[in-house]
Amino acid sequence: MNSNLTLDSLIAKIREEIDEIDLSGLAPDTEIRKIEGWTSLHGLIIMALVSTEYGFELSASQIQATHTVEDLYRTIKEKMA
Amino acid sequence: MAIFSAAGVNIHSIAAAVPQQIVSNYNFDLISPDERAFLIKTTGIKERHVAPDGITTADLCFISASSLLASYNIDKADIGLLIFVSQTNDYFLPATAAILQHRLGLEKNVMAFDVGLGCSGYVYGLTIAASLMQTLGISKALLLAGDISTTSCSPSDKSTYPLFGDAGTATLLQLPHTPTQWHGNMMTDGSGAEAIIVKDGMLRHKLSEASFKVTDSGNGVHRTPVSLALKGEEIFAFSIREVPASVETLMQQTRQSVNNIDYFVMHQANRLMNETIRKKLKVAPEKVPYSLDEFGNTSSASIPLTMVTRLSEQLGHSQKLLLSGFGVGLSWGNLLIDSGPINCLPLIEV
Repeated sequence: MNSNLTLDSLIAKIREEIDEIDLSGLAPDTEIRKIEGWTSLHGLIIMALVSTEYGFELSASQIQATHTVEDLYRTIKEKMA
Repeated sequence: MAIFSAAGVNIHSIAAAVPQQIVSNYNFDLISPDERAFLIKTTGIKERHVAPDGITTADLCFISASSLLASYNIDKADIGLLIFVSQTNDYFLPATAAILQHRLGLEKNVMAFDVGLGCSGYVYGLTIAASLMQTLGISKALLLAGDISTTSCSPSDKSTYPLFGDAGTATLLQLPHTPTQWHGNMMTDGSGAEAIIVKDGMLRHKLSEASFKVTDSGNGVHRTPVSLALKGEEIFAFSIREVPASVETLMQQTRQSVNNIDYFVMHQANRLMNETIRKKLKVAPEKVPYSLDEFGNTSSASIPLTMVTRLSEQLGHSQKLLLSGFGVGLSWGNLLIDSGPINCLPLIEV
Protein backbone atom coordinates (compact mmCIF):
# COMPACT_ATOMS: atom_id res chain seq x y z
CA MET A 1 0.00 0.00 0.00
CA ASN A 2 1.27 3.47 -0.92
CA SER A 3 1.10 6.01 1.89
CA ASN A 4 3.08 8.79 0.12
CA LEU A 5 0.11 10.40 -1.52
CA THR A 6 0.54 13.74 -3.29
CA LEU A 7 -1.39 15.22 -6.16
CA ASP A 8 1.63 14.80 -8.43
CA SER A 9 2.15 11.16 -7.45
CA LEU A 10 -1.55 10.45 -8.04
CA ILE A 11 -1.41 12.03 -11.50
CA ALA A 12 1.71 9.99 -12.27
CA LYS A 13 -0.04 6.79 -11.14
CA ILE A 14 -3.08 7.51 -13.31
CA ARG A 15 -0.82 8.12 -16.32
CA GLU A 16 0.95 4.83 -15.61
CA GLU A 17 -2.31 2.89 -15.52
CA ILE A 18 -3.99 4.56 -18.49
CA ASP A 19 -1.69 4.75 -21.46
CA GLU A 20 -4.01 4.47 -24.45
CA ILE A 21 -5.40 7.99 -24.25
CA ASP A 22 -3.45 11.24 -24.09
CA LEU A 23 -3.13 12.30 -20.47
CA SER A 24 -0.16 14.61 -20.98
CA GLY A 25 -2.29 17.60 -19.97
CA LEU A 26 -3.75 15.93 -16.89
CA ALA A 27 -3.89 18.47 -14.07
CA PRO A 28 -5.59 18.62 -10.64
CA ASP A 29 -8.59 20.49 -12.05
CA THR A 30 -8.99 18.44 -15.24
CA GLU A 31 -12.56 17.19 -15.65
CA ILE A 32 -11.70 13.53 -16.22
CA ARG A 33 -14.92 12.57 -18.00
CA LYS A 34 -14.33 15.35 -20.54
CA ILE A 35 -10.94 13.91 -21.56
CA GLU A 36 -11.13 12.76 -25.16
CA GLY A 37 -11.48 8.97 -25.31
CA TRP A 38 -12.48 8.61 -21.62
CA THR A 39 -14.99 5.77 -21.07
CA SER A 40 -16.65 4.15 -18.07
CA LEU A 41 -13.93 1.46 -18.22
CA HIS A 42 -11.37 4.13 -17.32
CA GLY A 43 -13.41 4.74 -14.17
CA LEU A 44 -13.01 1.04 -13.30
CA ILE A 45 -9.25 1.34 -13.80
CA ILE A 46 -9.23 4.22 -11.30
CA MET A 47 -11.21 2.05 -8.84
CA ALA A 48 -8.72 -0.79 -9.27
CA LEU A 49 -5.79 1.59 -8.83
CA VAL A 50 -7.19 3.02 -5.58
CA SER A 51 -7.83 -0.49 -4.27
CA THR A 52 -4.42 -1.97 -5.00
CA GLU A 53 -2.36 1.18 -4.41
CA TYR A 54 -4.13 2.84 -1.49
CA GLY A 55 -5.82 -0.13 0.15
CA PHE A 56 -9.52 0.75 0.10
CA GLU A 57 -12.41 0.51 -2.30
CA LEU A 58 -14.24 3.45 -3.81
CA SER A 59 -18.00 2.91 -3.90
CA ALA A 60 -19.93 3.40 -7.12
CA SER A 61 -21.34 6.68 -5.77
CA GLN A 62 -17.85 7.89 -4.79
CA ILE A 63 -16.45 7.30 -8.27
CA GLN A 64 -19.54 8.93 -9.79
CA ALA A 65 -19.02 11.98 -7.56
CA THR A 66 -15.39 12.24 -8.64
CA HIS A 67 -15.13 14.87 -11.35
CA THR A 68 -11.50 15.94 -11.15
CA VAL A 69 -8.17 14.46 -10.05
CA GLU A 70 -8.33 16.79 -7.06
CA ASP A 71 -11.70 15.28 -6.05
CA LEU A 72 -10.10 11.85 -6.19
CA TYR A 73 -7.08 13.05 -4.22
CA ARG A 74 -9.32 14.47 -1.47
CA THR A 75 -11.38 11.27 -1.25
CA ILE A 76 -8.25 9.12 -0.91
CA LYS A 77 -6.69 11.53 1.58
CA GLU A 78 -9.83 11.47 3.78
CA LYS A 79 -9.89 7.68 3.75
CA MET A 80 -6.21 7.44 4.63
CA ALA A 81 -6.42 10.01 7.43
CA MET B 1 -22.83 -17.31 7.04
CA ALA B 2 -19.97 -18.52 9.17
CA ILE B 3 -17.11 -20.47 7.73
CA PHE B 4 -18.08 -24.10 7.35
CA SER B 5 -15.89 -27.16 7.37
CA ALA B 6 -17.72 -30.25 6.20
CA ALA B 7 -17.08 -33.64 4.69
CA GLY B 8 -16.61 -33.17 0.99
CA VAL B 9 -17.15 -35.45 -1.96
CA ASN B 10 -14.97 -36.52 -4.88
CA ILE B 11 -15.18 -34.51 -8.05
CA HIS B 12 -14.95 -37.49 -10.40
CA SER B 13 -15.13 -35.72 -13.74
CA ILE B 14 -16.16 -32.56 -15.56
CA ALA B 15 -17.36 -31.87 -19.10
CA ALA B 16 -18.19 -28.57 -20.75
CA ALA B 17 -20.07 -27.74 -23.95
CA VAL B 18 -20.18 -24.48 -25.87
CA PRO B 19 -21.92 -23.47 -29.09
CA GLN B 20 -19.72 -23.62 -32.21
CA GLN B 21 -20.63 -20.09 -33.26
CA ILE B 22 -17.91 -17.62 -32.25
CA VAL B 23 -18.55 -13.89 -32.03
CA SER B 24 -15.38 -11.81 -31.99
CA ASN B 25 -15.17 -8.60 -30.03
CA TYR B 26 -12.76 -7.37 -32.69
CA ASN B 27 -15.88 -7.06 -34.90
CA PHE B 28 -18.02 -5.23 -32.31
CA ASP B 29 -18.62 -2.17 -34.48
CA LEU B 30 -20.94 -0.35 -32.09
CA ILE B 31 -17.78 1.30 -30.75
CA SER B 32 -14.70 2.76 -32.45
CA PRO B 33 -11.67 0.56 -33.23
CA ASP B 34 -9.68 2.32 -30.50
CA GLU B 35 -12.40 1.78 -27.90
CA ARG B 36 -12.73 -1.83 -29.04
CA ALA B 37 -9.01 -2.45 -28.55
CA PHE B 38 -9.20 -0.86 -25.11
CA LEU B 39 -12.28 -2.93 -24.18
CA ILE B 40 -10.50 -6.16 -25.18
CA LYS B 41 -7.32 -5.20 -23.33
CA THR B 42 -9.18 -4.22 -20.15
CA THR B 43 -11.78 -7.00 -19.99
CA GLY B 44 -9.50 -9.64 -21.54
CA ILE B 45 -12.43 -10.89 -23.63
CA LYS B 46 -11.48 -11.43 -27.28
CA GLU B 47 -14.35 -13.63 -28.37
CA ARG B 48 -17.34 -15.54 -27.11
CA HIS B 49 -19.26 -18.65 -28.08
CA VAL B 50 -22.87 -17.66 -28.74
CA ALA B 51 -25.80 -20.05 -29.00
CA PRO B 52 -28.11 -19.76 -32.00
CA ASP B 53 -31.86 -19.76 -31.42
CA GLY B 54 -33.03 -23.28 -30.63
CA ILE B 55 -30.15 -24.29 -28.35
CA THR B 56 -30.89 -23.97 -24.65
CA THR B 57 -28.70 -24.17 -21.57
CA ALA B 58 -30.30 -27.54 -20.84
CA ASP B 59 -29.16 -28.79 -24.27
CA LEU B 60 -25.53 -27.88 -23.54
CA CYS B 61 -25.71 -29.42 -20.06
CA PHE B 62 -27.39 -32.54 -21.47
CA ILE B 63 -24.58 -33.07 -23.98
CA SER B 64 -21.97 -32.55 -21.26
CA ALA B 65 -23.70 -34.94 -18.85
CA SER B 66 -24.40 -37.67 -21.39
CA SER B 67 -20.76 -37.49 -22.54
CA LEU B 68 -19.57 -37.97 -18.96
CA LEU B 69 -21.91 -40.89 -18.33
CA ALA B 70 -20.86 -42.61 -21.56
CA SER B 71 -17.13 -41.87 -21.31
CA TYR B 72 -16.75 -43.30 -17.82
CA ASN B 73 -19.34 -46.09 -18.13
CA ILE B 74 -21.37 -44.72 -15.26
CA ASP B 75 -24.37 -46.83 -14.29
CA LYS B 76 -27.27 -44.37 -14.52
CA ALA B 77 -29.01 -46.20 -11.70
CA ASP B 78 -26.29 -44.93 -9.35
CA ILE B 79 -27.19 -41.28 -9.88
CA GLY B 80 -29.35 -40.17 -6.96
CA LEU B 81 -29.19 -36.39 -7.29
CA LEU B 82 -29.35 -33.95 -10.20
CA ILE B 83 -28.97 -30.21 -9.65
CA PHE B 84 -29.41 -27.76 -12.53
CA VAL B 85 -27.83 -24.39 -11.72
CA SER B 86 -28.97 -21.75 -14.18
CA GLN B 87 -30.87 -18.54 -14.72
CA THR B 88 -31.93 -19.53 -18.25
CA ASN B 89 -34.33 -22.40 -17.83
CA ASP B 90 -36.25 -24.19 -20.57
CA TYR B 91 -39.66 -23.16 -19.21
CA PHE B 92 -41.29 -20.97 -16.60
CA LEU B 93 -42.27 -24.34 -15.16
CA PRO B 94 -41.59 -27.27 -14.67
CA ALA B 95 -38.07 -27.37 -13.28
CA THR B 96 -35.50 -27.98 -16.01
CA ALA B 97 -33.80 -30.52 -13.74
CA ALA B 98 -36.88 -32.76 -14.07
CA ILE B 99 -36.73 -32.53 -17.86
CA LEU B 100 -33.03 -33.40 -17.78
CA GLN B 101 -33.64 -36.40 -15.51
CA HIS B 102 -35.88 -37.84 -18.22
CA ARG B 103 -33.67 -36.83 -21.17
CA LEU B 104 -30.63 -38.42 -19.54
CA GLY B 105 -32.55 -41.65 -18.89
CA LEU B 106 -32.00 -41.53 -15.15
CA GLU B 107 -34.09 -43.55 -12.74
CA LYS B 108 -37.20 -42.04 -11.16
CA ASN B 109 -35.71 -42.22 -7.68
CA VAL B 110 -33.55 -39.17 -8.38
CA MET B 111 -33.82 -35.98 -6.37
CA ALA B 112 -33.77 -33.29 -9.07
CA PHE B 113 -34.20 -29.55 -8.70
CA ASP B 114 -33.11 -26.20 -10.07
CA VAL B 115 -30.96 -23.61 -8.34
CA GLY B 116 -31.48 -20.11 -9.74
CA LEU B 117 -28.04 -18.61 -9.33
CA GLY B 118 -25.54 -17.21 -11.81
CA CYS B 119 -21.91 -16.28 -11.18
CA SER B 120 -21.76 -17.85 -7.71
CA GLY B 121 -23.79 -20.89 -8.80
CA TYR B 122 -21.06 -23.48 -9.25
CA VAL B 123 -19.65 -22.97 -5.77
CA TYR B 124 -23.14 -23.02 -4.26
CA GLY B 125 -24.05 -26.07 -6.35
CA LEU B 126 -21.01 -28.04 -5.21
CA THR B 127 -21.77 -27.18 -1.58
CA ILE B 128 -25.45 -28.15 -1.83
CA ALA B 129 -24.62 -31.38 -3.65
CA ALA B 130 -21.91 -32.41 -1.19
CA SER B 131 -24.13 -31.65 1.81
CA LEU B 132 -27.04 -33.69 0.44
CA MET B 133 -24.83 -36.57 -0.63
CA GLN B 134 -23.17 -36.79 2.78
CA THR B 135 -26.42 -36.36 4.72
CA LEU B 136 -28.59 -38.69 2.65
CA GLY B 137 -25.94 -41.17 1.55
CA ILE B 138 -26.32 -40.47 -2.16
CA SER B 139 -23.45 -42.22 -3.92
CA LYS B 140 -23.35 -40.25 -7.18
CA ALA B 141 -24.70 -36.88 -8.27
CA LEU B 142 -24.73 -34.71 -11.37
CA LEU B 143 -24.22 -30.98 -11.00
CA LEU B 144 -25.22 -29.23 -14.23
CA ALA B 145 -24.31 -25.56 -14.42
CA GLY B 146 -24.55 -23.06 -17.23
CA ASP B 147 -26.35 -20.24 -18.92
CA ILE B 148 -27.21 -18.83 -22.30
CA SER B 149 -26.75 -15.26 -21.13
CA THR B 150 -26.42 -13.84 -24.63
CA THR B 151 -30.15 -14.30 -25.16
CA SER B 152 -30.85 -11.39 -22.84
CA CYS B 153 -27.98 -9.11 -23.89
CA SER B 154 -28.94 -6.28 -26.22
CA PRO B 155 -26.54 -6.14 -29.19
CA SER B 156 -26.84 -2.35 -28.88
CA ASP B 157 -25.58 -2.30 -25.29
CA LYS B 158 -21.82 -1.92 -25.13
CA SER B 159 -21.87 -2.46 -21.36
CA THR B 160 -23.13 -6.06 -21.61
CA TYR B 161 -23.05 -7.42 -25.16
CA PRO B 162 -19.25 -7.89 -25.51
CA LEU B 163 -18.91 -9.51 -22.09
CA PHE B 164 -21.07 -12.63 -22.10
CA GLY B 165 -20.77 -16.05 -23.68
CA ASP B 166 -22.79 -19.26 -23.51
CA ALA B 167 -21.82 -22.61 -21.99
CA GLY B 168 -23.27 -25.64 -20.21
CA THR B 169 -21.28 -27.98 -17.99
CA ALA B 170 -21.67 -31.23 -16.09
CA THR B 171 -19.76 -32.33 -13.00
CA LEU B 172 -20.02 -35.88 -11.72
CA LEU B 173 -19.65 -36.16 -7.96
CA GLN B 174 -19.29 -39.29 -5.88
CA LEU B 175 -19.23 -40.16 -2.21
CA PRO B 176 -15.66 -40.98 -1.24
CA HIS B 177 -14.59 -43.90 0.95
CA THR B 178 -12.56 -41.48 3.04
CA PRO B 179 -14.00 -37.98 2.86
CA THR B 180 -11.71 -34.98 2.89
CA GLN B 181 -12.77 -31.74 4.55
CA TRP B 182 -14.18 -28.95 2.41
CA HIS B 183 -13.98 -25.45 3.82
CA GLY B 184 -16.10 -22.64 2.52
CA ASN B 185 -18.26 -19.59 3.02
CA MET B 186 -21.33 -18.42 1.10
CA MET B 187 -22.64 -14.86 1.23
CA THR B 188 -25.58 -12.83 -0.07
CA ASP B 189 -26.47 -9.15 -0.27
CA GLY B 190 -29.83 -8.59 -1.91
CA SER B 191 -29.51 -4.82 -1.50
CA GLY B 192 -27.52 -5.04 -4.73
CA ALA B 193 -30.21 -6.94 -6.63
CA GLU B 194 -30.55 -4.22 -9.26
CA ALA B 195 -26.83 -4.17 -10.03
CA ILE B 196 -27.34 -7.05 -12.50
CA ILE B 197 -30.95 -7.59 -13.46
CA VAL B 198 -33.39 -8.53 -16.20
CA LYS B 199 -36.40 -6.56 -15.04
CA ASP B 200 -39.35 -7.72 -17.12
CA GLY B 201 -40.75 -11.17 -17.79
CA MET B 202 -41.57 -12.62 -14.39
CA LEU B 203 -44.19 -11.67 -11.81
CA ARG B 204 -42.80 -8.38 -10.47
CA HIS B 205 -42.87 -6.87 -13.94
CA LYS B 206 -44.91 -9.04 -16.28
CA LEU B 207 -44.31 -8.88 -20.02
CA SER B 208 -46.11 -6.02 -21.72
CA GLU B 209 -45.70 -4.01 -24.90
CA ALA B 210 -43.38 -1.68 -23.00
CA SER B 211 -41.11 -4.64 -22.22
CA PHE B 212 -39.87 -4.59 -25.81
CA LYS B 213 -39.42 -0.85 -26.20
CA VAL B 214 -35.78 0.13 -26.68
CA THR B 215 -34.60 3.00 -24.52
CA ASP B 216 -31.39 5.00 -24.86
CA SER B 217 -29.59 5.13 -21.53
CA GLY B 218 -26.75 7.16 -23.06
CA ASN B 219 -23.09 6.27 -23.64
CA GLY B 220 -23.79 3.51 -26.16
CA VAL B 221 -26.38 1.70 -24.07
CA HIS B 222 -29.64 0.85 -25.83
CA ARG B 223 -31.77 -1.85 -24.29
CA THR B 224 -35.27 -3.00 -23.41
CA PRO B 225 -36.65 -4.00 -19.99
CA VAL B 226 -36.19 -7.67 -21.03
CA SER B 227 -32.49 -7.06 -21.64
CA LEU B 228 -29.81 -7.67 -19.06
CA ALA B 229 -28.90 -4.41 -17.32
CA LEU B 230 -25.58 -4.16 -15.56
CA LYS B 231 -24.29 -1.39 -13.31
CA GLY B 232 -20.60 -1.84 -13.96
CA GLU B 233 -19.26 0.41 -11.22
CA GLU B 234 -21.45 -1.18 -8.54
CA ILE B 235 -20.48 -4.70 -9.54
CA PHE B 236 -16.83 -3.78 -9.75
CA ALA B 237 -16.84 -2.10 -6.33
CA PHE B 238 -18.69 -5.06 -4.80
CA SER B 239 -16.36 -7.67 -6.28
CA ILE B 240 -13.04 -6.07 -5.39
CA ARG B 241 -14.31 -5.25 -1.88
CA GLU B 242 -16.12 -8.43 -0.88
CA VAL B 243 -14.30 -11.25 -2.66
CA PRO B 244 -10.80 -10.64 -1.26
CA ALA B 245 -12.24 -9.96 2.20
CA SER B 246 -14.27 -13.20 2.19
CA VAL B 247 -11.31 -15.25 0.93
CA GLU B 248 -9.08 -13.76 3.63
CA THR B 249 -11.68 -14.62 6.29
CA LEU B 250 -11.90 -18.18 4.98
CA MET B 251 -8.13 -18.54 5.00
CA GLN B 252 -7.64 -17.06 8.46
CA GLN B 253 -10.38 -19.05 10.15
CA THR B 254 -9.29 -22.35 8.64
CA ARG B 255 -5.59 -21.56 9.26
CA GLN B 256 -4.80 -21.88 5.59
CA SER B 257 -2.68 -19.67 3.37
CA VAL B 258 -3.13 -18.67 -0.24
CA ASN B 259 0.53 -19.62 -0.67
CA ASN B 260 -0.43 -23.26 -0.23
CA ILE B 261 -3.13 -23.22 -2.88
CA ASP B 262 -2.24 -24.85 -6.17
CA TYR B 263 -4.92 -23.06 -8.20
CA PHE B 264 -7.31 -20.19 -7.49
CA VAL B 265 -10.12 -20.63 -10.00
CA MET B 266 -12.28 -17.54 -10.07
CA HIS B 267 -15.54 -16.84 -11.82
CA GLN B 268 -14.53 -15.30 -15.12
CA ALA B 269 -15.99 -11.80 -14.89
CA ASN B 270 -13.46 -9.52 -16.52
CA ARG B 271 -9.71 -9.41 -16.39
CA LEU B 272 -9.35 -6.06 -14.65
CA MET B 273 -11.70 -7.14 -11.86
CA ASN B 274 -10.14 -10.58 -11.44
CA GLU B 275 -6.59 -9.24 -11.53
CA THR B 276 -7.45 -6.66 -8.86
CA ILE B 277 -8.78 -9.47 -6.66
CA ARG B 278 -5.69 -11.59 -7.36
CA LYS B 279 -3.29 -8.75 -6.54
CA LYS B 280 -5.12 -7.90 -3.31
CA LEU B 281 -4.85 -11.52 -2.20
CA LYS B 282 -1.22 -11.71 -3.36
CA VAL B 283 -1.78 -14.90 -5.34
CA ALA B 284 0.90 -15.66 -7.93
CA PRO B 285 -0.33 -15.11 -11.52
CA GLU B 286 0.54 -18.67 -12.57
CA LYS B 287 -1.96 -20.01 -10.02
CA VAL B 288 -4.88 -18.08 -11.52
CA PRO B 289 -6.10 -19.49 -14.85
CA TYR B 290 -8.20 -17.45 -17.28
CA SER B 291 -10.57 -18.68 -19.97
CA LEU B 292 -12.45 -15.45 -20.53
CA ASP B 293 -10.28 -14.50 -23.52
CA GLU B 294 -11.99 -17.28 -25.48
CA PHE B 295 -15.39 -17.59 -23.81
CA GLY B 296 -16.21 -14.33 -21.97
CA ASN B 297 -18.34 -14.41 -18.84
CA THR B 298 -20.27 -17.69 -18.92
CA SER B 299 -22.06 -17.25 -15.60
CA SER B 300 -22.21 -20.43 -13.47
CA ALA B 301 -20.31 -22.38 -16.15
CA SER B 302 -17.20 -20.23 -15.95
CA ILE B 303 -15.37 -22.12 -13.17
CA PRO B 304 -15.85 -25.67 -14.55
CA LEU B 305 -15.24 -24.36 -18.11
CA THR B 306 -11.93 -22.88 -16.95
CA MET B 307 -11.01 -26.14 -15.21
CA VAL B 308 -11.74 -28.17 -18.36
CA THR B 309 -10.04 -25.85 -20.84
CA ARG B 310 -7.11 -24.54 -18.80
CA LEU B 311 -6.31 -27.11 -16.09
CA SER B 312 -7.27 -30.42 -17.63
CA GLU B 313 -3.80 -31.93 -17.32
CA GLN B 314 -3.02 -30.51 -13.86
CA LEU B 315 -6.33 -31.76 -12.46
CA GLY B 316 -5.26 -35.31 -13.29
CA HIS B 317 -3.27 -35.11 -10.05
CA SER B 318 -4.40 -34.17 -6.55
CA GLN B 319 -4.56 -30.41 -6.08
CA LYS B 320 -5.53 -27.87 -3.45
CA LEU B 321 -8.13 -25.72 -5.19
CA LEU B 322 -9.75 -22.49 -4.14
CA LEU B 323 -12.93 -21.85 -6.13
CA SER B 324 -14.60 -18.46 -5.94
CA GLY B 325 -17.86 -17.34 -7.55
CA PHE B 326 -19.29 -13.83 -7.30
CA GLY B 327 -21.85 -11.62 -8.98
CA VAL B 328 -25.58 -11.49 -9.70
CA GLY B 329 -27.72 -11.49 -6.57
CA LEU B 330 -25.54 -10.16 -5.18
CA SER B 331 -24.26 -13.58 -4.25
CA TRP B 332 -20.74 -14.87 -3.63
CA GLY B 333 -18.96 -17.85 -2.18
CA ASN B 334 -15.61 -19.59 -1.81
CA LEU B 335 -14.76 -23.23 -1.51
CA LEU B 336 -11.41 -24.71 -0.54
CA ILE B 337 -11.02 -28.27 -1.76
CA ASP B 338 -8.29 -30.88 -1.58
CA SER B 339 -9.20 -32.62 -4.77
CA GLY B 340 -8.24 -36.08 -5.87
CA PRO B 341 -7.60 -36.62 -9.57
CA ILE B 342 -10.39 -35.05 -11.66
CA ASN B 343 -11.09 -36.34 -15.16
CA CYS B 344 -11.78 -33.59 -17.67
CA LEU B 345 -13.26 -34.40 -21.06
CA PRO B 346 -12.08 -32.33 -24.02
CA LEU B 347 -14.26 -29.28 -24.68
CA ILE B 348 -17.40 -30.17 -26.62
CA GLU B 349 -18.51 -27.80 -29.39
CA VAL B 350 -22.13 -28.07 -30.43
